[in-house]
Amino acid sequence: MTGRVAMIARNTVFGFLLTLLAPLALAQFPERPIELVIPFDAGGGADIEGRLLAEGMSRVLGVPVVSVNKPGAGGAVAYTYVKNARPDGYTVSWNSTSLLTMSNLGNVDFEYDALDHVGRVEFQPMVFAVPANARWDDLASFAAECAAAPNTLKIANSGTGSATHLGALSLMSALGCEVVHLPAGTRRRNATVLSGEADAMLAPLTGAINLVKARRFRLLATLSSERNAVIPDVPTATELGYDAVFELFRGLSVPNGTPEAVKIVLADAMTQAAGSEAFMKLARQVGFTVDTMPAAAFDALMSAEDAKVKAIMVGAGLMSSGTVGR
Amino acid sequence: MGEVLLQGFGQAAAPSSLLATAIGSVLGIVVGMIPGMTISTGIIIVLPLTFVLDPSVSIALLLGLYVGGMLGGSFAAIMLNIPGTPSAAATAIDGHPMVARGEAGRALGVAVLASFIGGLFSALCLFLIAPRLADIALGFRAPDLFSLVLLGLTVICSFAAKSWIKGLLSALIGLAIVSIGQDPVMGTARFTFGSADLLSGINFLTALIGLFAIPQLIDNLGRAGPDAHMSVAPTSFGRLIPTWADIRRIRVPVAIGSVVGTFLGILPGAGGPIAAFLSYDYARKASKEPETFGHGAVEGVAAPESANNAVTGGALVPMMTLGIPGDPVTAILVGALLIHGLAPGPLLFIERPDFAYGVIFSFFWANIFNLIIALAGLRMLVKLIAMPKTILMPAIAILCVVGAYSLRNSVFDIYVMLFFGLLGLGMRWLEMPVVPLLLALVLGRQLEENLRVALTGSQGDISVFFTSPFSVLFLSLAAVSVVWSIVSSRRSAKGAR
Amino acid sequence: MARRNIIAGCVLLICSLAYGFLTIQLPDRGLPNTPGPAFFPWLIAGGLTLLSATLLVKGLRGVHGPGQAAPSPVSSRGWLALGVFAVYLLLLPTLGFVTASIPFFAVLTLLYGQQNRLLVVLTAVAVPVLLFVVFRYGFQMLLPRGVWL
Repeated sequence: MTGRVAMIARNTVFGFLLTLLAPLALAQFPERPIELVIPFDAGGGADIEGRLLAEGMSRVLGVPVVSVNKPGAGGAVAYTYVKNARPDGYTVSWNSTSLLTMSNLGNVDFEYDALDHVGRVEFQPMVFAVPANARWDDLASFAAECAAAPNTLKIANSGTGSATHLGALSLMSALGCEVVHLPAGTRRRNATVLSGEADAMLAPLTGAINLVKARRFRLLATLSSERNAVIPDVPTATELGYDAVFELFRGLSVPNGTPEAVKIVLADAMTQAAGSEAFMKLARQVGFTVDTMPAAAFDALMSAEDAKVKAIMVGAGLMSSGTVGR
Repeated sequence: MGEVLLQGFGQAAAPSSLLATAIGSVLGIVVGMIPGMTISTGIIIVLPLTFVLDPSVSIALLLGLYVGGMLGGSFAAIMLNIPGTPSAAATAIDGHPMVARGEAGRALGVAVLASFIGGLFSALCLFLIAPRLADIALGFRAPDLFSLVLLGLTVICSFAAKSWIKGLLSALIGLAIVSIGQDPVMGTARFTFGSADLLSGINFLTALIGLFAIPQLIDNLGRAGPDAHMSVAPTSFGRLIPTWADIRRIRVPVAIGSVVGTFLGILPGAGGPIAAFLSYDYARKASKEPETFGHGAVEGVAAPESANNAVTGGALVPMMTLGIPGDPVTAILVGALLIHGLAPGPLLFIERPDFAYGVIFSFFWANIFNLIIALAGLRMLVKLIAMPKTILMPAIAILCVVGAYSLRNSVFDIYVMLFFGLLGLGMRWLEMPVVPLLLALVLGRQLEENLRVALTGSQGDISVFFTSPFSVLFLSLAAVSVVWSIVSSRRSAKGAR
Repeated sequence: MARRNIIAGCVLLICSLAYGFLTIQLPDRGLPNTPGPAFFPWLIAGGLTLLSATLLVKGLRGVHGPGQAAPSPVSSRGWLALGVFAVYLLLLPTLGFVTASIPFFAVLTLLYGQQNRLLVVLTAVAVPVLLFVVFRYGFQMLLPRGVWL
């Protein structure tokens, strides 16, 4: 912690000296600091991961990559800001599945392709968690109880239309369950399950891992395509015979019309930073999987995920009435 | 458990945390002491810092400031008969006559000691009560939380306002403002007029800067000019360390102040001024020679002083365990924690017990530092009462801008800050309290979210609010506080006529 | 006080009605059987309208009657400072933090009654520059840079 203060002091002095020397640098991208816009609050998962990536990228690129938090509106604020920024590669967005959920929910008037995507960095599973003392040992017994008594069990999520809600909708439809979805919010989601108000929840692994370690939650399944290294004992839903896969991705986006050459430089820096030891270590700690993907593949993935999000939302009646609510 | 306590202790005792506590304490004493600046001003100065420091360090800084500010306010009250903070007004009654008698050192020494004991007592209560209350609060469900937040808001209204209408209106204006932006359940844009800036809503920290700092800047301008009254601070004030005789005399008043202060601190919104005056009154009733009160009785300094510092530890109880702040300072603490992704509330004690206990230990340290700094540096610090406002105030104006901007890196927020400054001036003109509005901004989303989650869970059946015993308890207390404030404002209106 | 209550009551009543009007236009969406996004604003609009009407009526009946109103919270110098502040904030995005803050700081220092001209200039340059450098390099936060910095 003292290190942080020392770092601030060091940055102040050296950074200032560096700017004085800046005109000597080459007139080639990048020649000045790059802004990495983080769509969520400082201190959260997106922020910690994004900042670490930015540090790695600035080492590769030789200019500061400054992380700027623009939280709010499920990412809509940040994505809108980047969409409207100058397409020169100096404004980059740290994106996530939130790009698909907030646009399809109709909270902004553009779709995910209003941004150009540089590449994917990582993905992480969503998990189905119950209190440690819950009466279900596995997903099948939960499914059995909920089939017997439809619309009585309650499942908490981070908000109506959020990724966790969509994950819950797709898992429940795979289980053949009718449940009450409680939009408890990111802050209250875990507490709602602990108090017994909700019977289970869907959460990103990074959001539940602390309470799993504290033995307050048990995980019945993950919605990933394969088991996660941090929770190797937890089966995937697919393994158990329920077809529900919903992974959360994170990657980089830039404004539409950013030059190809610039995007290539950014993608290269992103890949190197993602492969750094520091980033890998964080991944092992909190449970995301580093798996970089180039722009073309990422675009294809997003288009597939977007279709999936749309299908789930239409199924739940979230997209039928008034698509845009401004 | 032991391990967690040790980690928390380690966090609070880390060199950077201790340094932050000390800096906070000095800064708190200074801003508390300078008339026209309050603890809120001090917080606005350090706010941008808390965005970049580690959460444990920023909390240590803010706690130091909180505790130091309470004491600093009393220094001004004693030395100049101008309470530096509202909570210090009761201290002036007996503190200043002592100065007039040439016993400045005695008055200040007793004030420092009484503050320390009051603070320490409340820290102990915080340490003992908070984890248990958090355990209970863990069982709260959405209907209980809705009723609890409602209770918090109504209590604040009834304590803050002379007129119950204005108190409630202030809170409702706050709720209306908080409904701007995306709704907390599904992100529908409300009242944004298509503006991307309004989509993320109004951050209460931005509002707080405007509401508190701008009226204060304007106020100070009104009485600007050479700071004539500042030069009256005496240069010598004799022995500072209280004598045994004095310590024996203040035993009972300090005990009264500590208990009253801690208890009232736990109630959201009651806060320092009420606790200080109440314990002053109790101490006088308990005294064998009540006629000395008002003419420079040490007991009259000790009781309110221990009370207003005991309020700080009390106020941290609902803040830490329920996420419900009772005053602007604890509201900032909530904000500072949220910025770092740490949501104060019962889960904090389970998910991050090391951090939760770290905060409590930092609060202990803040009180200890306060004692040391006040006793060692008092002679020097008192001179700062005469600090030149001509530079201080413009610097604060610029810091307001920096603080509002750096919260979300948004120029728009600077204008929001100015809007709230004008609103704050308007409310002053109307004699409408601003604290209910501020706390409505902090609590509004929780209020709506819990209401909607509760009704979603019950599929639209409002009886959930009347079947849970917690909810029933909170709702009836809320009703009592509204009725009480209506009755008391009627009575005072009659008294005025 | 009664006059102020009447004015404030009127203003607040108009605001409440406007708020209520905007609430009517909110889209009705969400899951069936659950309160939607307009639910809470309805409650607020109702409460605001009721209370501001009460304030207005009380003002008209002179309930808070002869009580002496406090003097206006803003002096003429206060209005001047607010004006300067507003101009500063308007220019800030264009001029950038440092450029805009220097003259603003100087003017404000003079308004607060500083006599020493040298001190005015020195602090007006030093404070904004220092803040900018510390934030930019120490905290990695960009304060508004304006068109040229």
